[in-house]
Amino acid sequence: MPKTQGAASAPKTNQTGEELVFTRPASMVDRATHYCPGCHHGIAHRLVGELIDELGLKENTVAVCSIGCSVFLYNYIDVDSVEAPHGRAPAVATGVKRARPDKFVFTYQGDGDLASIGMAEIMHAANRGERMSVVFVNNTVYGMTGGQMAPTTLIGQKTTTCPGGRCKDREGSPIRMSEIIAHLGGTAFCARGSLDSVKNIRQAKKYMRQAFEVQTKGLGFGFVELLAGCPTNWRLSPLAANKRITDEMIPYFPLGVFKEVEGDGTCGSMLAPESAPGAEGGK
Amino acid sequence: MKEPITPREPKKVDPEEGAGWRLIGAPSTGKGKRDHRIIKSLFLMDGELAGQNKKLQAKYDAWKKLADFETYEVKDAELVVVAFGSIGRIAKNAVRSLRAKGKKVGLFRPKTLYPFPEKALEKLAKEGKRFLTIEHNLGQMVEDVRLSVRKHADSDLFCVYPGNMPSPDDFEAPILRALGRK
Amino acid sequence: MSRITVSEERCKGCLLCTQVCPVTIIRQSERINQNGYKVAEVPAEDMAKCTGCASCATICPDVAIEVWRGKKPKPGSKAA
Ligand SMILES: Cc1ncc(C[n+]2csc(CCOP(=O)(O)OP(=O)(O)O)c2C)c(N)n1
Ligand code: SF4
Ligand code: SF4
Ligand code: SF4
Ligand SMILES: [Mg+2]
Repeated sequence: MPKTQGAASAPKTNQTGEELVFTRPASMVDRATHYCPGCHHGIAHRLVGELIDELGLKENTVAVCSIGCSVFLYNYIDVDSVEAPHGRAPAVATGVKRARPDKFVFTYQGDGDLASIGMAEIMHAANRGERMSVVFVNNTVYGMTGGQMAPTTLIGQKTTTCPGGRCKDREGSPIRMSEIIAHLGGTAFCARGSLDSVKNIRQAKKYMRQAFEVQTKGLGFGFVELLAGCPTNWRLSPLAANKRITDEMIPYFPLGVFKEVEGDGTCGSMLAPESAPGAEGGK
Repeated sequence: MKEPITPREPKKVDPEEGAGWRLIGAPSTGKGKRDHRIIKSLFLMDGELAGQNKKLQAKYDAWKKLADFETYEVKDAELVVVAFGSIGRIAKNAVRSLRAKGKKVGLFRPKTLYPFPEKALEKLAKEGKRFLTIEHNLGQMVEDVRLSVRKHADSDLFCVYPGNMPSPDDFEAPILRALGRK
Repeated sequence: MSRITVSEERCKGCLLCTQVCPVTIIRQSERINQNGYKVAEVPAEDMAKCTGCASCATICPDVAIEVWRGKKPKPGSKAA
């Protein structure tokens, strides 16, 4: 692992002998994001970029972007990308991966996308053990459309569609996706991390690495949930939003690994990029 | 109503097809070096969406030539029944039995509703024919029929409630009524 | 000796970085960038206290912070 966090190349040193130990990952495009101040999509994007660099996947990756604030992931991560219809990223990724088993394929989905309209797709993709990785950003609301209630909205949480607060009898309890996904047969790795503190961000990155590696090792479906803040729709400052994750979300959505399958990848590891069929330029 | 299938040789597959848009990972160095590709349907930059709409419009214009239809006994017909799908088949039987009774009626059966065979229908209107649209709904295609013939004629409308399955006999009276209406 | 740089173009003034610095040297400046955000800064006189821990950069959602570590960290510094 390179010393410079996020940079695939050797650590940069300047004339005075200083070493650049933290900078933009090479696979992240150098441009401002459209996200609100304090939005955790930015952190999740950077972690994706750092891992793509560290695992040397940049030239072999196809990203599947989903509908939500983060649909523009493809403008920020410098890899081939396809935009999936709302909730259908796991289905699109299934197609990509089966057509190109040698590629590293991941989806990046919000909680509205994955746990609401796309519930069926994610369940069956996990159950089939598709060799894909899923980055699931749970911010307990439909961020893009103005903060409507999501399946993950906490009891009592006020949103535009439950202005009196989510009520268990009326709307049911918030769905804990990681716990559900962990129970499905094809899941090789499943964990929940959080982006509210430095310690949790570092841990979350380790989980993401594992979720990526079960795919590169051909072990099965990799899933990582990231508890994230949407200060805008929570009507909170970024600092208060982070505190809400710590105080309210983590107690309901416990952090940790829910499933980890050991294996030697006998069901088929990924092919090395050079030996892959149909490399650029045709066969 | 099912149209008969015309088998044809499949087109040759070009292995290079898609070389310009395929997503197989973007090399950032070496001979194959290129920018990352994005397949998307959101076009938010200034003018981008209008450009996309223009492209789609050209596609819709291009497929107008695929409009298809069948005519039956229209040559000397005074009244042309316009009907599609299963109702088209039933109407054809009604027209056949009315012809046997010497009535000057014919059938225009669109095989495609979009694109709609508007030119062919307009040609019949120009020849001075009158129209009766029969539909298994409360009047949908009749709007296309009326738009197609509007410079020369109008169309009567006979509707069958969805849920009722009519027989050819059920259509004879409305067709004769429209034929008698000058 | 370590230091950070804050890209004033990219900073959105969310202040998350100010809360995680172990030596609390990051603060909001009075400078407003093109997007209307009051950017974060480390006052020049405080920069020497930077440990190079990269906590600020880790939590920054906008990759606005770069962290440099000096060749020979001061003895006892966390950055060693
Ligand atoms: C088929 C369809 N239904 C509804 C929408 C409207 N829509 C856009 S984004 C969104 C919710 C996104 O929420 P989430 O996945 O949690 O992403 P976030 O913005 O919170 O990151 C919805 C319902 C849509 N674009 N397409
Ligand atoms: S609305 Fe919420 S999820 Fe969307 S960019 Fe703003 S803070 Fe992020
Ligand atoms: S690197 Fe660590 S010590 Fe230096 S400014 Fe950032 S958080 Fe503070
Ligand atoms: S965390 Fe980043 S964007 Fe937020 S105030 Fe600090 S430097 Fe600016
Ligand atoms: Mg959401």
